Amino acid sequence: MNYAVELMNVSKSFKSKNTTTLALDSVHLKIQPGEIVTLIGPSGSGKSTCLRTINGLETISSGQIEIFGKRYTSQADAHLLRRDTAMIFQKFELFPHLTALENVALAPHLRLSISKHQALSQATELLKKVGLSSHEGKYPPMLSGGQQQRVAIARALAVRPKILLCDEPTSALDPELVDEVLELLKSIAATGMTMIIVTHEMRFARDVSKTCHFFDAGRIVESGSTNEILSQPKSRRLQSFLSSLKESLPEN
Amino acid sequence: MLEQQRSKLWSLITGLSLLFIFISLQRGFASLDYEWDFASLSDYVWLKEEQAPGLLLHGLWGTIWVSALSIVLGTLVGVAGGLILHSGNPFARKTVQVFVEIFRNTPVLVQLYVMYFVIASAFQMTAEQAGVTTLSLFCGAYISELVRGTLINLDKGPRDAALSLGLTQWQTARHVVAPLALRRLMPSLVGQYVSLVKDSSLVSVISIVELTKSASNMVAISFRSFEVWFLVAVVYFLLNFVLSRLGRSIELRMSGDLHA
Repeated sequence: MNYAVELMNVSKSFKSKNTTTLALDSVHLKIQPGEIVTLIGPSGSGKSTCLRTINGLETISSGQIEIFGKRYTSQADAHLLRRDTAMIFQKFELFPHLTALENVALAPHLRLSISKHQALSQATELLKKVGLSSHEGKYPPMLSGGQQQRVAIARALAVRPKILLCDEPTSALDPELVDEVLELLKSIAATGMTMIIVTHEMRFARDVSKTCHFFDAGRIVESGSTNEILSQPKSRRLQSFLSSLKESLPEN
Repeated sequence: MLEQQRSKLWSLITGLSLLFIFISLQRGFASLDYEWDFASLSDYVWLKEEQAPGLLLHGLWGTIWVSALSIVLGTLVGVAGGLILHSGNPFARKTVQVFVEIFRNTPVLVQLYVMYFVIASAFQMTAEQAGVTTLSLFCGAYISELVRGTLINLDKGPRDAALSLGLTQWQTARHVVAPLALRRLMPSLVGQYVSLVKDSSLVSVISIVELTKSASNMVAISFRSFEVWFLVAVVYFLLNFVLSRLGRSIELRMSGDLHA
């Protein structure tokens, strides 16, 4: 059986004038269909870069990436491999020139050979699902952060992905808006969607994912069941990362 | 409170400035000792006997078509140039850079002479073709830089989002990047167009019939140079005023949804 996502020895380096930074350092990652995985780690540890490489938004320097057994070969046909995935961004990245409804309908209309009318009525359904029916005609800047992220989630679901990639979906939100987005993501998780979530919300990670990978300096330092990772960290690096979080987060 | 005081202050400054300008003009005209006669220009606007447009209207038509054609061609050149500057291969980019530098750093007047006397004679071009070609390239050079600058500063987020949804590069460019870039580009583009309309007066030196050329003919016939140039200035103003307003309304329509 194929893995939903498989990263084999993936490395990525950024070259600036006279230094080379290793953003990803020989990363191996295997994710089963239907599995929900969280990636945690300090900023700049490579977890977001890892997520973006899975979607072909970042090129890799070496290694292999397979999505359901299909391999990325070039940037030119990257859009074909993106057909099984959709992504949710930290800063929502809605299309500012389109209404909430059009944001959701654009990709299905262009990509899935659905008529505009059909795409729009499907978008109406999806916006209802994320609780934003009354905001259909609004443009992104008129919506709160939480509402924008919910539109972005509806937009991602509209292309019927098998894998949902979430890049710090609540990091840019005001604290009181975080829950509405997390609840929505949990309800999607319950439908059996394969999800890879980069997050700083440890409680959410524990609630939603069985498996967790801890990134540091471009490497996966520790992997395992989310519960064990969070309550019995083995590596010193993970221990210090978690204790630095505890200072800012209430323990449950 | 403060806001009100400030707006009052500005009204006062504006009023005083207008008064000063008015008094200066008044004194200038008074000391000129010149008998103004705008009525004598009516024949140049419209020939009553022949029921045909006069010199001025002929010239206006010339300015309009030369400018319009140069704006359209210049925009095409500029968009192509800007795209190459932004993401073309190194050789193409270098070529466009050289083109932009040449046309931005030399006077249009010189470009017109070179185009008309050297290049046009090599390719059997008419004066009109040479004039429009020069203005298009000149305008295109500036627009290339505008397009490049806009694309560089454009937020990459929406583009990434479109790609991540499985759209092709072309679909992303067409439905997401282009609309966002265009609304950013619009104000400076309109400025460029307005300045092109004014620069089009220079093609009079290679004897293309347009407003400025007509004006000098009118002066040669009527000796009414003050009235003629005054009138021509007003016509240029109106032309560009309409163009700016048009641009502004398009701009507002495009960005009305951006700032709710």
